[in-house]
Amino acid sequence: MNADARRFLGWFFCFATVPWEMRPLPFTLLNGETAKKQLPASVPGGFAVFDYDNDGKLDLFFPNGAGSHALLRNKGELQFEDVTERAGLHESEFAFGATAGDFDKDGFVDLVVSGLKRVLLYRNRGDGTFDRLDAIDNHGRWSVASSWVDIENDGDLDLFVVNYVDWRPEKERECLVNGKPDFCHPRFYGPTPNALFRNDGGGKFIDISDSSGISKHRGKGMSAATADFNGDGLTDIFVTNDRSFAFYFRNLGAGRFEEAAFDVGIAAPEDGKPVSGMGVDAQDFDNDGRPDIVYTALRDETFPLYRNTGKGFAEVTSPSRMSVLTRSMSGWGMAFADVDNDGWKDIVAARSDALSPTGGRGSAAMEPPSWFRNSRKGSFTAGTGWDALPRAMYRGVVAADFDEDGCVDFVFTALNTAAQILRNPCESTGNWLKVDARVPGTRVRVGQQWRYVTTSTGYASSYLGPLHFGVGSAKEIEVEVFLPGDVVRKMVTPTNRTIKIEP
Amino acid sequence: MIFALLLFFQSLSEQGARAMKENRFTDAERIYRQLVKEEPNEPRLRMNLGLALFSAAKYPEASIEFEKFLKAVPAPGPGHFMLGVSRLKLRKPCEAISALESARKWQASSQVVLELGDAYFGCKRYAQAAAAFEALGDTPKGLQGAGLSYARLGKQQEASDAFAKLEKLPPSAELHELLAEVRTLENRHGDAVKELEEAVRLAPKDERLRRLYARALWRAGQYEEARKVYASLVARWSNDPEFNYEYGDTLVRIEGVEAGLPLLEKAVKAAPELIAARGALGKALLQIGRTKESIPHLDAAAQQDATVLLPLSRAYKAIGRLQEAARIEAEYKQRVSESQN
Repeated sequence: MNADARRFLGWFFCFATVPWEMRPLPFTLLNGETAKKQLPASVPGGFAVFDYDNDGKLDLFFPNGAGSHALLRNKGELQFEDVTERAGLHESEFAFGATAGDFDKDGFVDLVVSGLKRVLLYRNRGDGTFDRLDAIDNHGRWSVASSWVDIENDGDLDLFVVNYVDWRPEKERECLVNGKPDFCHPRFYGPTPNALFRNDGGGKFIDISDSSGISKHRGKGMSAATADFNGDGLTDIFVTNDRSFAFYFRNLGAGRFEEAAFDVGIAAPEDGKPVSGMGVDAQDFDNDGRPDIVYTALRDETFPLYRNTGKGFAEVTSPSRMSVLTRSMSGWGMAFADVDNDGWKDIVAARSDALSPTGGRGSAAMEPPSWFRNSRKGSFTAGTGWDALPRAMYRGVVAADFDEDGCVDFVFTALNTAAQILRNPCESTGNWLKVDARVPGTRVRVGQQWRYVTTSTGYASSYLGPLHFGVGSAKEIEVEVFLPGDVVRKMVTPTNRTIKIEP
Repeated sequence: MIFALLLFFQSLSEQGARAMKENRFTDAERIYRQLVKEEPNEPRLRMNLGLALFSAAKYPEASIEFEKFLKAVPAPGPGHFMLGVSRLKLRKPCEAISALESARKWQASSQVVLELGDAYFGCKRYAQAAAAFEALGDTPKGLQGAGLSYARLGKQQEASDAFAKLEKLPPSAELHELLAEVRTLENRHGDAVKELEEAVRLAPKDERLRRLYARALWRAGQYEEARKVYASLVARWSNDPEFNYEYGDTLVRIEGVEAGLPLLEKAVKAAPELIAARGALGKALLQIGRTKESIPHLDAAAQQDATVLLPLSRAYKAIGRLQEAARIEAEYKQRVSESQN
């Protein structure tokens, strides 16, 4: 239903408020938690949103912890069917995140899955099935997330792998919180280096972690956001670390990176206290054309928000009021999304504690999801309409217009419960535009807004689909698309439609 | 002549007692100082002077008078109790222990045992603290102190049992205040707020509780709410450096540096030893570009709090002292990494 029709119907149903509606999906995220509270059970929950069969509808791939992965095909009208077996993806591998990207450029989107012991690469055959390639050797490290990124602008998607801690089951210790066994603090586990694999074509990936400079830095990585943060034409990589300094890998070109988080002012919040960095998103929230960064952290740490100044980053967590809004929250998944189509990106968070609901904090570990409305002047207010949403151990969230009504919906994962799709009632009268340009590294300007095509979003999750823009009252709008390789497309288009940009 | 002097002393002594009774502690202090000058070898006068000073929150001077009293009257008695409590007020719990142990020999009342338990706890002698608090039975303070002591000893079951009993006591402002202390020590600042909300609801006229409530809100990052409570307390607490630090920090966070800076400056001027306030002032000055002024405050705060090294490094970088900036940043990375891992 387009915005005009909604306005028209609004006269008949004036003041009738349509609630946000949460519907279960046929997938349950299992973390295999036992009384021993082994750390991996705390960490699952990322997933990928992409169109695996090129039918124009966004499908869902969920890696699982203690159960099989699942591929859910979008049949339309928010109906999904489980096609995991048919697709050859019925595998049980304790896994945490998934990232979609067409690494072999055959027009079908492939998948990479981050696991406790290995990184799995699934090539999309194009006939609705996938085959697994043993192309990525992550040296047995625990990977939580990954990102497809063209590091050299050669048109091939390379793979950045976010590794977490050095965890060994035989060395797991018992930790108590409020007298009850619970997951241990990350300080009890050693850091590990991240990894970078160069795509040399033909399904061949070369480990360039050392030569690129990536492996020089050991952290406790949880998620990555990629964008050309400094405007030099090369994609940089920001990595959240759990209770240690964040990494900012500045792309120097020719496959080399330098870690420069301190130089650009984003290693730790301004007060100097490193936080439990979890999920992260990088988009332009203040419509100044530069990708900003927001990430989740745990209770009393706030969700840090950084504005890209062009010369680095300025932390705006306090002046934006995000500090006040999020101080009592723990978060995992995170996304910039224009919830109300007003032309300003809001922030959505999947929330829960890192501790277990059967541990020291009890059911207080479960929290409801939240959104924060961008009030346009650099600050945020608490979003409305989600008060009745249930508490759970939410982990991942991805924003996408699943029912194609022009408003972003949200899919959430939560531990040991069915994944949920939260349908946007689309009560806003704001117009919208979707720009379908699925080449990572592409920048899109719609009016004064910008979005960047990336393959990673939020917590260990991925979105590869049309970019959604709320455009307020605009009936037509100027669009500029900057594809990698300095190809620029410029047009003026009516709103409330999807435009496809061919590479 | 002697009779006249006796009458004079009697009159002054009565005036001192009346001043104490009427909470005119400054007057009482003046009167007892005069009496002590006239009768320097009369220990009871020193005790009274000490009590007047203690009541006026002049703990360092009160301690000195109690010590002098105890030199003359060394037997276990109330002087030991007052000296112990004064040292606790001065945040010298280890130095308070011997005085309070002597006081317990004089009178093992619940008040003496409670203060002794606090002294043991503050001095990290948790086993003795637990025993002292256990001796208070199932009272709010006894259960709270025992629970905290057991938690520090790693005796989680005993700690949980004590806290469970505490939570089951009949609701009172005192109970909720004590539960708030527990939540604060567990870094559960949001829960501490809830407890103090209840305490304030039960004792709405208690300004001390409202002061604690404001602090809990501030610690929990609920700055909008904290601001309202702080604003309502300005009349009473405006000369309290800690109050000004917390209120100033709150205003900096929600209204900007200009709003909170005067309070932070006032706090630091009155109490330069309040290191946390100096850290907050340094960060505020740095934010508004008064970089050079920020450095001494950040430098002082960094001695206690390694996280302040990061803004200090940024300050040096901003004024072009790049070598110092690099050195401090390296120190920050090292010290904070060590504390995180």
